[in-house]
Amino acid sequence: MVDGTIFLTLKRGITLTNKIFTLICLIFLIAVPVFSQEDEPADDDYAGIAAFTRGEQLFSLNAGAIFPLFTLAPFHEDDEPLVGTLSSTHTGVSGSLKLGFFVRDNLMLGGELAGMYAATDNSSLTMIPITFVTQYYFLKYPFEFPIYINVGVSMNSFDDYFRITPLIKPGAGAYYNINGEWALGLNFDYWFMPELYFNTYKNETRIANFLQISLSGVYHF
Amino acid sequence: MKLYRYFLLIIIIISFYGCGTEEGGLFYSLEQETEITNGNLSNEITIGAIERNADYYFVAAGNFYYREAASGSAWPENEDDVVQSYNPDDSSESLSDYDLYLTYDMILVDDLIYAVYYSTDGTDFQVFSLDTAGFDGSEAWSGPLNFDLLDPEEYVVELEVCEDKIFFLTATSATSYNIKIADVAGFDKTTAFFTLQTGLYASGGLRVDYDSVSDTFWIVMGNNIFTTDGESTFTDITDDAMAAEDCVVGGEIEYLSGEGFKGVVCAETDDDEAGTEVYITSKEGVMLKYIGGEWTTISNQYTEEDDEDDPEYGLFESLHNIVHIEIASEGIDVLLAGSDEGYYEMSLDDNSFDSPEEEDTDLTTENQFSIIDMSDSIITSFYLDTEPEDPVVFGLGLNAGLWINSMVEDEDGDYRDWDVE
Repeated sequence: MVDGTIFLTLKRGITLTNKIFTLICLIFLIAVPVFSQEDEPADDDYAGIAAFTRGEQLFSLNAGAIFPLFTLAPFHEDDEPLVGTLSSTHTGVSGSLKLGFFVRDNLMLGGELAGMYAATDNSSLTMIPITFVTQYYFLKYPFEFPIYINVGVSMNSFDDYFRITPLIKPGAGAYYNINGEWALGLNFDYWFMPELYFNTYKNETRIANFLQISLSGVYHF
Repeated sequence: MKLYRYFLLIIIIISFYGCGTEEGGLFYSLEQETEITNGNLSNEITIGAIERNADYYFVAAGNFYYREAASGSAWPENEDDVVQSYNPDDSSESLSDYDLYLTYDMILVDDLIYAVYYSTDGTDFQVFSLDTAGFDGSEAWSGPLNFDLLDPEEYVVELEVCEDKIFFLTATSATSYNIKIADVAGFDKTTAFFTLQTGLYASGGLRVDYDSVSDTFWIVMGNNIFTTDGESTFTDITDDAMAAEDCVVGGEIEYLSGEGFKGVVCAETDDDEAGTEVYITSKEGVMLKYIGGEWTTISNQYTEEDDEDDPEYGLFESLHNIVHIEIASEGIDVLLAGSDEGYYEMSLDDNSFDSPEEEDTDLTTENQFSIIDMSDSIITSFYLDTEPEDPVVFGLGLNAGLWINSMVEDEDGDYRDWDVE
């Protein structure tokens, strides 16, 4: 019995890991040609910049907290509420890596690999979004005010459940340039994740909503 | 912009891809999740038996545990308190002389607990008793008890109380077991035993239930099924059971393990002519049913996720004891069969089995059950306590603690769910 349990656990874990790995490879295969289109980086020190110009790139590290907000039930029955709570989910931690390049002045395209973890009353929730990001900067040196929208998928795991859902993640930030290359700042991201069913589980369709607040370190190059 | 199109296409395709062992909505389940109460009893211990007197629950789980029966009462937090709870007086024949002894088996007879303690090396078995009348945790154990009518080399391995009889599984060696019986009325260590059978081979696992219609006790132990009137007859009916027409679906009962049959329950039917239904569970995931002189096999009907119109039939997960749970005030009348993956809940009306991990049942909600550890744990038996206004059911875990099923009242209405002690 013990051996069987271990085998099943390993089998389940290996299967899940393989699927995640395959998906990550797929996304990066798509993303690599995008990043390969970059021009030579601009040869200046970025100090006093009035605009990010085509060919410049950035890499950012983000870490923060994520707050469960609520769910929406678009196919709810008459006796069921449209808005549900995520009260069993505790405030979690989140982080991400973002790589982008400017395709025109102050307009950046890129990709982001993120992750979050939150304990729930009896288990835990883990989500790993992989998204394509479009970001626009408003600049008033030494401050940057990016607004952005991420579109992609999120691999979500909760106890024995594993689902891949679409993810739309609009957000905004405020950064301070501490020198010509580095900026530090704060981000607010809204996670909007529809989990859609059109079969027997139609009434279990939910659109989950989370708010992420994170600190960022941004490197321009 | 072609890249965007490809990317969006990929997103759309894989967004409808999901896996995992659970069906249905992840966020829906997250939304439905409610916190289970986790008491201060270890969730890793093996629960061998549970009994209650007027005011306390008693648990044999290696150590001997107790708590007040009032809802929400805590188990002794200090492990020393738990150990002390079975530490007897300082007499030379005290249990303290056997401090390496463990107990997973006990019965409660007229406020007296009889518990079988055995040495960790399995070479010695002793029975101790504890008077729970007016129990406050300070009582001392008595023993080891020397039952007068046991042979000098004979020792008690297991105890079962059923109806008005006490059943003893005794042994004279590791390969020779006897079943003996005594009346509950007036039982003490000088009570005369009636020997039902000697020279049996089994590795333990004595289970007994009583059919009041035919005044028959049903016994399963190891690879055998017996019936007895508790006085003069003792019949091995294993071969009759195994000759059931469709025995066995999807496999064969494994005799070599010596642990073939794990539980028996008798449930009266509404049909006077049919008499009592008897259900027997096996380690191999087979369930046998006896009614009106006929044996049949109950299959585990299940449906593959992608083939809803084509049910499959096969074995259950490895089964353990089966218990009749009847809570008249709530209209609950089901059988619970412990398994290696939680338990099954079976309707007595049509013998349909529900796996609480797949749908709401009388005793739990699918969303709650599927995410608690009980659903992945070995549940060996159940205990129904009808004393409270809302009766509670205990699930006995193997290295999985003690689970308690009770009524929940919230904005969603009244329903039952499991918590862990």
